[in-house]
Amino acid sequence: MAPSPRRLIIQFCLLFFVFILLFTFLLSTDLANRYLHEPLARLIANSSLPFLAVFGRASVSGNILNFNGFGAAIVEACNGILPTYIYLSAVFAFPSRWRAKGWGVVIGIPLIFLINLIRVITLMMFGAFQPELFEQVHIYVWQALVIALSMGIWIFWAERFVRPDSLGSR
Amino acid sequence: MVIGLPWWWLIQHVFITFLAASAERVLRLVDHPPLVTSLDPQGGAIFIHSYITGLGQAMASLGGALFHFYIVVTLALVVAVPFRTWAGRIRLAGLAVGVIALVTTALAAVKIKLAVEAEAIANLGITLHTVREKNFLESFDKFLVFGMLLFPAFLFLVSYLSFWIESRNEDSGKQGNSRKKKGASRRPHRERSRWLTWGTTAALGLAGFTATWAFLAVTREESDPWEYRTSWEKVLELNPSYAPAHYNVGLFEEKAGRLDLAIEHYELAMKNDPNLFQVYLTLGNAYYKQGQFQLAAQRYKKSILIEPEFAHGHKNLGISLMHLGFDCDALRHLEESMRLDLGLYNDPLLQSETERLRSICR
Repeated sequence: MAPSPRRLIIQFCLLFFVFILLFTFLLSTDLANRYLHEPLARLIANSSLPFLAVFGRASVSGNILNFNGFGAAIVEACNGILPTYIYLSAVFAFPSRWRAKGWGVVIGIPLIFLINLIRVITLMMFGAFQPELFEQVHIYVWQALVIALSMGIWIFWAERFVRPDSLGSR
Repeated sequence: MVIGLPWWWLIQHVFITFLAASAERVLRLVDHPPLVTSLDPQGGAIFIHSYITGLGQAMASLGGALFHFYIVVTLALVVAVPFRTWAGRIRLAGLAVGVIALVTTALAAVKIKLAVEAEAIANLGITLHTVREKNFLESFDKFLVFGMLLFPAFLFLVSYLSFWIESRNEDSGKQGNSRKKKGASRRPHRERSRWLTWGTTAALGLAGFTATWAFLAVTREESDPWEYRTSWEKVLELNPSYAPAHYNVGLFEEKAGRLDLAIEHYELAMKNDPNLFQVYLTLGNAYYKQGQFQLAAQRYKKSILIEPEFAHGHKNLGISLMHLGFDCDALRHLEESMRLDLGLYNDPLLQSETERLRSICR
């Protein structure tokens, strides 16, 4: 017998927050900082370099990116980990088969990385060419866009990969 | 967007006053220095601005941004997700706005309290537990950002799940009728509904971002300086040795062009609380304006002795030393300031001066 809608929603809410807490805890450790956050920040900085070099003088030093005299550090809040684990928590908490969840992971992580990369590149361009707009675009536009686009990827996954009968299989 | 601005301004002002008044109530429960406060709505706003000055403006902007972000995203979700009845939508909207108000009030109160002790240093120099509380404030800011992203996402997911379950139940109920149409594509009205959902969400989101952006650009809050000054003078009546009050009155005197009077107040602030490193910077700036570079350099040096990671202290010391002819010492401090603060690193004037000094010293 299929579980009631209320039970499914409560289950989803609980699972979602459990995963959020778990990810938050794991990703705030020194180990995560050393082996994930810092290398990822350097990867993003290095990946942005060839694209920025097309439009001007670009250089990278560790996690600090410099473009046409404008410098920015890729810190933890900019490496895309946060929207990724909100997305993954939603995938794991949503009632679906494990195969579908696997597809969610495989599709979501690279796409969110790509979105974050585009974010860094566009922000560097704003910083160099329109510095008066940089803060607003950084804080008010991209913060919300990243999460909205992550939810967009999630919708795509839910519509494309989650079978309607997975609710009755629990 | 332009037509909507006056209403958004009014609603935002009400929201910020509510936020300020609520935060004040919460702050009264914890121990903090005596403040000038007022209970009427305008006074509520003055409380935030006069006590925290620059942070107050930031709080107003942050409160405004949070309000727009949450309300727009929430409304987009509520309108875009196809509930069966309007009652369901209204319930969700009411719940969302209520939670937003509670959460942002609590966060505002905590942030103001912490900012008084840590971030307000940059603007007021109230106390000097910089490194420890700065670290805590940075962690808290991350939490604030995280909450801002998580809440609308969660709301959206729950709404979508409700809709998804409803659709699935509808499909199961009508499965018998659709068996003859096996292999047929989705019914047309569900397809239209899906595009309508996406389209509406995108349109509302875009309108919301643009309205927020335009609003912040056009109505960036600038408080009346007289309100600041009156508030701080009242504080001095209650507590004549309150260093931050002398400091802020000094700022107003300086703005009004009475530099000597400003220096007097800064000296009083320094005397009453020798650890206020921000006062040394401002005093140094006042002496710099008078052309007294030696005195300015001494004050800047004192500020970085108290707070070695004070980027602007290093920068201003470097500039004073340049005027006094100590180029290589100046270079050391300018480079340190750029290392500590990326905003200074990006300053084109500072970059060119540093390059010039490097060619002399190396």
